[in-house]
Amino acid sequence: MDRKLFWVVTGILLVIAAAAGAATIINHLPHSFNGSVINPPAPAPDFTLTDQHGQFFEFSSLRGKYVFLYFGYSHCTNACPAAMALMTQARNQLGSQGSQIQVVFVATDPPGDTPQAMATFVDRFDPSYVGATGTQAQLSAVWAEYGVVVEDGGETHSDYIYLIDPSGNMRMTYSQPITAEEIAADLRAIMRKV
Amino acid sequence: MRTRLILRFLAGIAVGLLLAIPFTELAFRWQGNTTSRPAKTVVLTIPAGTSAKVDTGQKVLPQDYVFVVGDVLMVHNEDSVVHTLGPLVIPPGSSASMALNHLGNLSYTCTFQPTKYLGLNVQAPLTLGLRLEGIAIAGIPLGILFALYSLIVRPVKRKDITPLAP
Repeated sequence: MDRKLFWVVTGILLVIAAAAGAATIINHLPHSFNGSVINPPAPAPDFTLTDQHGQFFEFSSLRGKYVFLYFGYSHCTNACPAAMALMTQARNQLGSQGSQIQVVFVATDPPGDTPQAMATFVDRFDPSYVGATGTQAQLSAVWAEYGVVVEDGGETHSDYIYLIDPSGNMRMTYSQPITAEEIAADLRAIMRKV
Repeated sequence: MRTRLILRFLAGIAVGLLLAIPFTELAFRWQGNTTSRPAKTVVLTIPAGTSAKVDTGQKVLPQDYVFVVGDVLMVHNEDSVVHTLGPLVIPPGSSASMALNHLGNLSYTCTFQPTKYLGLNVQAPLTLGLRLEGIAIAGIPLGILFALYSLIVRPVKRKDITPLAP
């Protein structure tokens, strides 16, 4: 009986050890990123704009957090809400780790993207998101720094989601087609390494 | 007679295959499919000063590139401003890359061409296998046609049949 118990316990321990070994190997396998990797990571240009509450918003104040940065306009009905929903879903996919991610939505239509309009837009997704706006001159400088092309009064604009790490470096960019699961998988891999 | 027929067809196919070699090669070249290397990482470097030159309408880099399926295009930015190419954002001093896993003629918006577009022609690699496939597809039907044509021009005669005396 004791002998039988010994083999059962040994068997269970072996299975646990094998599972732990397999998990370790899987965790250390190089992750194939779904987004476009920026290598080496480049410092994300800092900027100061006005948030949806009418307060000054300094981008560098988000150091220590992961940031999803997106450029769009508040009365957009297609690409911008789709990108915001995608970022929200990716955050949700990460569970408790999702709280480490701050979403920042930067205006592309200065006259239309008033703080009030930005508040209405970002609140549809999460009131904790930042809706940053400013004057044409302020925003043009930010667009140029991030390589964002804005035309037709802001209604035609680049459609990139920038992922910025807690050190303030641009790590990845995403463009359609991409899923929330793919973005979340990339983030998990990046967070594991930090 | 059966052996002769078979031999005639085999000879026709051999001639068809031989003739197909230059024709398929010409066809591949005519289609612009001349990349016979395996997939690899191709680095495209945006030189310093590109943005300033592009603003004045100067072309710094070629307009079109040819790749094979499976290539990875890595764009390295040595310029002082952010550049973009389709889904890629490339900050100064950094690189970004994309896998070219699908055949086709792609046209991406970019910031380092005066036209604001870059053409990427992604081809199937022109390997020995693809060449042989082309030769077989063209050569075998051609050979059969040759054999049939030769049978019309010069029919196979039975050796054991002696012509009737007049």
